[in-house]
Amino acid sequence: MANEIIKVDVDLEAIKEIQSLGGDTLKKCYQCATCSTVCPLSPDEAPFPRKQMILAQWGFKEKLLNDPAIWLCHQCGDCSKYCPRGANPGEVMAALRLSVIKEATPFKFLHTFYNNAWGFPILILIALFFILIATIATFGGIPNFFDADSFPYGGPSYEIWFIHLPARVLMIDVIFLPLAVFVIIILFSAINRMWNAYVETYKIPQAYRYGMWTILKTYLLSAIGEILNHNRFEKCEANKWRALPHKVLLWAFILLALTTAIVFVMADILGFHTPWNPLLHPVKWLGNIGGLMLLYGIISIILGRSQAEREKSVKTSYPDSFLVYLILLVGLTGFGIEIFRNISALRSLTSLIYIAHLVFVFILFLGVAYSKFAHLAFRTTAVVFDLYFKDINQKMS
Amino acid sequence: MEKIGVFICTSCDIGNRLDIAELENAARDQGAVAVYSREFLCSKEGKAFIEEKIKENGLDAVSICACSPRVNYDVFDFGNVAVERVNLREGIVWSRFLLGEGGEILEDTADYIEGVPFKNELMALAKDYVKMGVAKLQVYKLPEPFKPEEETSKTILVIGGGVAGLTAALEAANAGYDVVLVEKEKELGGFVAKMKGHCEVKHPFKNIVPPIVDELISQVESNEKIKVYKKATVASISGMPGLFKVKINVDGKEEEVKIGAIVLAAGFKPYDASKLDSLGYGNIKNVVTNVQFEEMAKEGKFIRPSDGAPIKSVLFILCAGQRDENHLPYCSGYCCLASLKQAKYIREADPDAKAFIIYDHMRTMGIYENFYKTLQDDPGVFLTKGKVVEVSEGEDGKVKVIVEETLLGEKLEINVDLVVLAIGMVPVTAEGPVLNLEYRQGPGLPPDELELFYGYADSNYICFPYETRRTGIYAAGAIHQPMTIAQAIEDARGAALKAIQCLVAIEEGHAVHPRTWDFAYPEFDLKMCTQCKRCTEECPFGALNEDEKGNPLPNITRCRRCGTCFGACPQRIINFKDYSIEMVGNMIRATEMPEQGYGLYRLMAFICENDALPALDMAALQRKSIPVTFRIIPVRCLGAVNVSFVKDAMSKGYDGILLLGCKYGENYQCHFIKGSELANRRMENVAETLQQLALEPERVTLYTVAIDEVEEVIKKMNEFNEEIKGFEENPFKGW
Amino acid sequence: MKKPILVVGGGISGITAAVEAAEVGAEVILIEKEPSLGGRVAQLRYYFPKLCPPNCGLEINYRRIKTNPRIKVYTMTEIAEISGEKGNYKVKAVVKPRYVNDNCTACGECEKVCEGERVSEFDFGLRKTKAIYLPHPMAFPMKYVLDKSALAPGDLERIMSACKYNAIDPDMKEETLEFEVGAIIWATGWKPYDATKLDNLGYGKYANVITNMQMERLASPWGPTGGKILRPSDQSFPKRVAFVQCAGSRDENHLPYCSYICCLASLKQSLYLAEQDPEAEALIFYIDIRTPGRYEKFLRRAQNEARINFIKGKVAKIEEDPETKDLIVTAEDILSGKKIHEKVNLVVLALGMQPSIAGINIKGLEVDENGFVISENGIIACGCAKMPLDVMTSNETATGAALKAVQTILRG
Repeated sequence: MANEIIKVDVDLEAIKEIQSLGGDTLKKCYQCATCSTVCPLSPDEAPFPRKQMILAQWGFKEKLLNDPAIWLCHQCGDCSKYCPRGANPGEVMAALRLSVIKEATPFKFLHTFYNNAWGFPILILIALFFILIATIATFGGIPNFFDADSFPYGGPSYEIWFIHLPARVLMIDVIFLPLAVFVIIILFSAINRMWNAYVETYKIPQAYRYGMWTILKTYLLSAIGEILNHNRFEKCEANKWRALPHKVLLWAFILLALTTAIVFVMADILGFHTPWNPLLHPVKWLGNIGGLMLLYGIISIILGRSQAEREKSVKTSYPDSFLVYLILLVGLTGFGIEIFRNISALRSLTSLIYIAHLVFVFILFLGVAYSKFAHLAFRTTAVVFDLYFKDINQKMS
Repeated sequence: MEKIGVFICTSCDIGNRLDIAELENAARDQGAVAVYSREFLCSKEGKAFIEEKIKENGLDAVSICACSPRVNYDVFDFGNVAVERVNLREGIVWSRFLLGEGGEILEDTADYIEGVPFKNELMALAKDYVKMGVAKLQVYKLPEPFKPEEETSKTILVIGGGVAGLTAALEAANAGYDVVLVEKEKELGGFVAKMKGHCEVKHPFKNIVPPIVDELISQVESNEKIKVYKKATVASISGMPGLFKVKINVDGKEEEVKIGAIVLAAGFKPYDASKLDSLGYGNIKNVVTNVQFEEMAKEGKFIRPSDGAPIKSVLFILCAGQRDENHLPYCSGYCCLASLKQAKYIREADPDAKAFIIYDHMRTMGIYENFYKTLQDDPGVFLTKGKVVEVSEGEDGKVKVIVEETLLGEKLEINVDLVVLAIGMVPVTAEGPVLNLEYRQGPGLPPDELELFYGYADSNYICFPYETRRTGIYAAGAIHQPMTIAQAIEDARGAALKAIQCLVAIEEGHAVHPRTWDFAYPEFDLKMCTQCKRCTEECPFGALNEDEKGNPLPNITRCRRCGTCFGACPQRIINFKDYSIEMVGNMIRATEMPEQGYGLYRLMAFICENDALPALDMAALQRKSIPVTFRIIPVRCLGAVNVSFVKDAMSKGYDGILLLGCKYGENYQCHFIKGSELANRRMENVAETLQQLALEPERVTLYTVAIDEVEEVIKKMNEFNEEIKGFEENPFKGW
Repeated sequence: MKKPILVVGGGISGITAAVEAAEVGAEVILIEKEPSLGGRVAQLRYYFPKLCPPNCGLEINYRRIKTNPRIKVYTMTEIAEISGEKGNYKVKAVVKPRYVNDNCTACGECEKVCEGERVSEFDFGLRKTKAIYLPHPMAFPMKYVLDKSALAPGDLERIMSACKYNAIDPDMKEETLEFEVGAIIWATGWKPYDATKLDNLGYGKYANVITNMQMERLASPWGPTGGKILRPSDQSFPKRVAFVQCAGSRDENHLPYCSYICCLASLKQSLYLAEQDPEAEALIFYIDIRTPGRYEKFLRRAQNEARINFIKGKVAKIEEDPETKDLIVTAEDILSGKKIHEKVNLVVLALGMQPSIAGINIKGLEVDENGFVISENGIIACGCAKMPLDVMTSNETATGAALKAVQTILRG
């Protein structure tokens, strides 16, 4: 029991916000702690989600922001399944994560766009805006969007220093390199703030407050190891099914990231430019495998969810479905380009699907900071902290 | 009774183990005019046989020597013929065995002691039983229903016009009885009428509804069978059920009404909050009670008492002055519901308002969980278990509350506009007699009884919730037990039924619960009374008044037929037609006592027929053995054991006397409250008497047993048997 | 008074309603589906808070029944059909064959020679009885019952020749009774919730996870262990016992309501343990301790007289140590905010009560989604058929129900 007295200053809006983000059942909880007990991930020393439920009921936003527990939750659904009051702690935790993301990142309006259905068209427009600007700039005017040889496979080429860049490659660099930087900065500052908050809440003695590099090299690797194996995820009971697709999905993203990196090096730097033969080119294989895994992962997640909803172990809120369908769209449009391009009948539509793909990738990229997708960074941080905390606990005792 | 017939059943091992011819002779020796033995007496043929013989011999009494009086009641019923049941089966052949070393059952022919086969003792016992049966009937008289000279009243008095009183009055009237309703306030409706709303009293038990009393009041006031006295109190109640004279004080002037039975529904008062200064009450203006908050809600004025500023936040402190040895040690059972309800009031009044509820245990019992579920689901209601450690003035008129041990794992400081203390109920019986009975034992319910229940007019009998110690007076509602409105309604119906039942019992002339079948009643031969007042003091039900000389004045319809007065009377002047000093004396005398030096002891046991007797029947059913030395006489209650029984048994030559009764003490199981306890106290005088006779006081011992303590009963009887062996023979044998 | 009152259910509520009504002069028909009256309370060792045996009160009530010619009792009888309305009902009831007639004197000769055995549902499967058996030592009526399906070859001949009163009638047929009654009191009471549905609490999976009603039988002097509390796996005394409160109750997935008696029952059973070994330890895992009114005193008594460790936090996980058959119960100790894993010798599930008629649809009887009777008018419900209650309150509702019934027949 904490010694210092916490002054209660409830903000009803904070509570209503959590309810609106999918935690509508929040107030049904009567604190029996079944959830903390059935949760396969909740640790003995600091069990969740029972305590997070009442903190949320009382609108203790600050405390929740600074609580890694809400990220250690993988929404297995065991808590919701066994909850005697139908308070769905799993969904409330998800809602809490969303509100944390909102709190942790600047430009909150983007967060609103990401987590409300009406925001989706706006996001598309934003993406289109940047893409068109970049297109006009790099293609020197508006290309013919119904002719693949005009767009994307046309336009002027550029010689920058020793590098030779076709318009479309420059365009992509122009869009995505700044975007990446933007996202990375936002996440970095958020994670940084988050980490310090954790250290405070858990009252880590000065002696054990290591510098970033120590933390990274001591804990990040094992954390990533864990994440790649999904050891936590696989402890889930009620929604065991989710572990595999989610794992496949994660690996898919890694492969695709890898592919992108290679393409960037080979094309943008070394100048071996695409299009490459999808069947013969090894990098293409890599990309296609990644793409297929992505589709497999996301589709089985969609099917699994609807099954789980019928068994009442999962409730799907808009932010959930937004992310899964966005990823689905990215996958489909990705393959779409390849297919359209190589089927003469459809070739004329390639540029449209190409644009669509860019739009969805853009939204997904930005979503790493503003959508549910942000768990990629924040959960990783929490897992790192968890390992760190356990470790120094041992050291201390 | 003149012409006594004896019927001996030979079935269920009786014929196998006992010599029936000998028993028949024993019956004749004792003076039975007709003696028969036959197998399977409880069969249709058996019953027909008995009826035939009754006619044939013109018998007016029969002794059925067969099974326990607890079985075949209905079978052995011959109208106006007195029936005595001699318990040969459970009492002897199923429970008296000669046991070997390993506890195995030996042949009856085997020696009990050197030269005396067990069979002899078994037969001696059986003969004593048969003779006792006849002896009892010899002095037995057929009970006649009690009929008061005066005409009895069938009007029911209901004290209290709250939800319980109104319901009781209405339900009694609907059953066709006249009702007099007395309410001290100038309006009916009691506490509920002062409320804004309450949890609905029927399925689904989750909504707040406006007070239901309004409907009840109009029904009561429009019912011609109900006479309502407002601003009235009961000045005095004299007489007895069926013949109560009740003086009602209406606005200063008195009226007298004749009343049959009474429903006590005078309700409760809120606990005195001024004792709760530790929670800021009295010192801090913005700390109020749940009662005061209910008034605020009813007026719809949610403003701070201190400065009239609108109330934006309320904190409810549950169990305020309750479950606390320094205040009310009990839980009032309604406050959790009330606080949830009141939280809703403020939330409905202002959607931005906040309500904090600090509880210890949320007690929305049973179906009321629905109410909890519904009302907690509100973004503006904040619940936590916790300990309130400080209530003090905060900034700008707010009250600062510090709460520890919360579910948030934090020590909290909450600043609110208003603090509401959920205070408990105090039954009015805790503060005054209310009834103002003109009874010798005092104007109210017995203080020692009220003490057990913190002043509530409650019953100590879980099975019989309406058993007050004042016959014809039944409590209902929040004066009976702490309860919710829905429960009060049910409770009032029950109390009304008990009141009606009492009137029926009076009409039929038998006792009320627990001896509803009993038509006999105590009769007093006052010529010999020495005004010792034991009967009037000891009667657990205050049935006896006294005249100025100190003679007892019986009020039969107050009497529950426990025989405590009978047991208390040193002059032996109190007797029942079917249970008297002479009767038991005659039974004891009828038994055979061996000469001095026979070497085998004889023990007498007086056992309570409520718990001890069934326990022994259970033992018999399982063929457990009790010593053959015991002669057992069942009594209605140990309170009805007169010291003369002991004297008679001792002078007859019995070596030891055992009394088996029900448990007494705080959780007493005695069906007549104090019977076994009084008997135990009387044992002290007995001890003296014994010492005067130069006999060891241990020869007379009292044990208490519960009905299911079969092993214990047997153990105690065997222990007593062994203990007596340690003494000399009773020197009075054969005098 | 005119038409009789029908009381359905011979537990404490039904018995109370029947005698109370009869003692104001009404004719009463009392039917009970079991072979003996007494219902749930007959299975209890003690009542809280007095720790007195229920048979004590039943004994008085049986005497009130036996001495009151206005009451007719039918055991092994169930309602088949109700027609008509308030004031005059036509009721069909089915009497199952007892295969033992009224000649039975309960002498027990048949039981001695009978070899076939049957599981005793009265003891919740904790022991077996002979195929011909007395429901329990204080059974009312005090008559044997024959379970033909449990007879061993030759049993029938043996028991029939052992009975000197030809009380055994193997050809007894099911019969249908028809009553015309003015009012019906519904007092069918409750049954323990099916514990196997609580899949995370191990009942039926682990030997030493029992229900609170089974605990009553273990503690009863006439129970399977003669009143010695011994755990099923090895018949040893459990020194450390976990009581799992709200097992099924206050749970939307099972029984959404609170069952009223379970907190008090567990406190009572902690006292049973203390009585047999003062060192015995009880761990009571609770959400809220519900001891309303003067039961608060009982809570204090239990705290003083028994070694009870109260833990706020519901048990949601139980595992068995395959070696010792001990159990590890897991819960969050909310007040300390830590998850705990306690090793105990026995787990008692404070199992909730479910209306006996849950899931059964009786024409003319209005019930809520859980099976509690809610009919306002017409059939009058009392006791736990109406809502979860303790014995005292049940009897208050039963006495009230008697009045409502009496009013009806007076009018009708």
